[in-house]
Amino acid sequence: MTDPNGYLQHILSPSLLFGALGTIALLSLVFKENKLYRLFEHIYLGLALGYDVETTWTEALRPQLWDPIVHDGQWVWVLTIPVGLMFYGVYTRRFEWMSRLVFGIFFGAAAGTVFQDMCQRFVPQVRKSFKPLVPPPPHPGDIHATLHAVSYVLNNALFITILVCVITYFFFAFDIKNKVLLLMARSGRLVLMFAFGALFGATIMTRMALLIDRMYFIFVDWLQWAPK
Amino acid sequence: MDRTIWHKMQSIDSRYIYAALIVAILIPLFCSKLVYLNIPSKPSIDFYNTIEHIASTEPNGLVIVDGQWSSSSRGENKWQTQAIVTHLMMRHVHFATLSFDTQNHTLTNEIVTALAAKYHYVYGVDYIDWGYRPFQAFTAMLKGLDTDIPGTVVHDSSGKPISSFPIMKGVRDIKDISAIIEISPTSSIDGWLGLVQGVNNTPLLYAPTAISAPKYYTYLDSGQISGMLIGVKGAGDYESLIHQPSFGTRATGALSFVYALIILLVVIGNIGHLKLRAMARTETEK
Repeated sequence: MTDPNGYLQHILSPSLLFGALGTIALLSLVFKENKLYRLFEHIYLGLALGYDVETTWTEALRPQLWDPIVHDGQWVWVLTIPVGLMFYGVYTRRFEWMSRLVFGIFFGAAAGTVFQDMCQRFVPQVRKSFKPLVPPPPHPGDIHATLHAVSYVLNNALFITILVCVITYFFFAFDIKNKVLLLMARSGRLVLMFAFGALFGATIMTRMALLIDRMYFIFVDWLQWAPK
Repeated sequence: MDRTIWHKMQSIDSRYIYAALIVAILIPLFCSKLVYLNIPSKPSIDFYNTIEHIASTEPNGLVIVDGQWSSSSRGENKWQTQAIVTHLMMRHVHFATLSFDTQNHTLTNEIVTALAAKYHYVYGVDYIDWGYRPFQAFTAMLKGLDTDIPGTVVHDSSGKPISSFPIMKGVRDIKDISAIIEISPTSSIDGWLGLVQGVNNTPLLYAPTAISAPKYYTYLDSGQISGMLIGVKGAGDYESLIHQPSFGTRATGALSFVYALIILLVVIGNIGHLKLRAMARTETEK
């Protein structure tokens, strides 16, 4: 290290030091439960909650509700406050009807939105599930046209087979006795297992990415032992 | 019965495993000169090509970058954001940032501000910050964007009307948006898919954490999602596509070491198990 004082100043700078201590304390849980871990866990939770409250006020409630009412003369927004308070009627028998009014309006709006949401999300998927088993005409000049056609048909055939097998597996309403259907249901279960395996692999990737990021922070950003 | 090496192979002390894990992660961090064979996956290439297409066909097109991540998924989403924003700025694509997470607004702004200085991006002309909105307003906000963007967003993060910025000239509704980029560890993409994307078939690009990605492969297949960056591997893919290697590239290398370690541990455990089973069978036969 060329400048020991500068390095010391760097690693002792409050934000970096606090971040590094927090990381080490939270990771110490893998060895065993300890008080340092508990302390930093509570600090983290408190900070996150405090930050949420502050941001909600400064970036949402104040500019979108308080300032328009108090500074811009848009007093009509005041009317939203009693409507919001009506939700709390649920806690008293006398004013319960008030909460039902606003809940009813919200349920209606949500149901309409969910209907649009479901249609727009799932209808295109159902439509795309009907894949053709006849390849499209080859592109002019495609020297691997046969190969592309074969892979197109094989891909789509595999997709349709897996789709039908998995759907067969979810026939719980009646007892399947037919041997072909049974085989299809078992194959469906098998491919579902492959999917769950991929899901588990992806889970590990996320967990490890978070650990790698923290190690990068400790050894590159804070200690500067590893190159930037 | 004495504990043999075969028993120990099946029950390695977890502390040794954690130590090995950290060593596996540190090797690529310390050996920055290691060359990784990082082959971008197809969803990452599609993501890249969509931005390239917008850059070449819609020079004044506006892209919405919606961030919903916070410090808890920084390890993946931060590097995705950095790679995506770098690409947008390299190709001079205009964009608007929007946050539905309290921490995200600050975290995304840090990245955008640092890169804006590097790529000479001017606020209000090349990019704009639509600010933070509480997640409770997510559905209402998305429905509003479909028909009236200036009336829904109203102000930027500093409180100025968004219509007063040159970047917003001619932007009225979702038809005037070139693409939507969603960077999120949650399933918030469902809202964009269900309430926005289908209205005008606006290209929707998704950068999730790896754990969320498998659920959305079906949307890639149906064409509802035009491209996807999967976790930190996606960030690494993107860095190699835009030739700007950074943390994502090194993290992808570290991930490879970690996966190799996990496979090795699975093999060790299975060898121990199979050997003990064979020994038990021999004992029974005697």
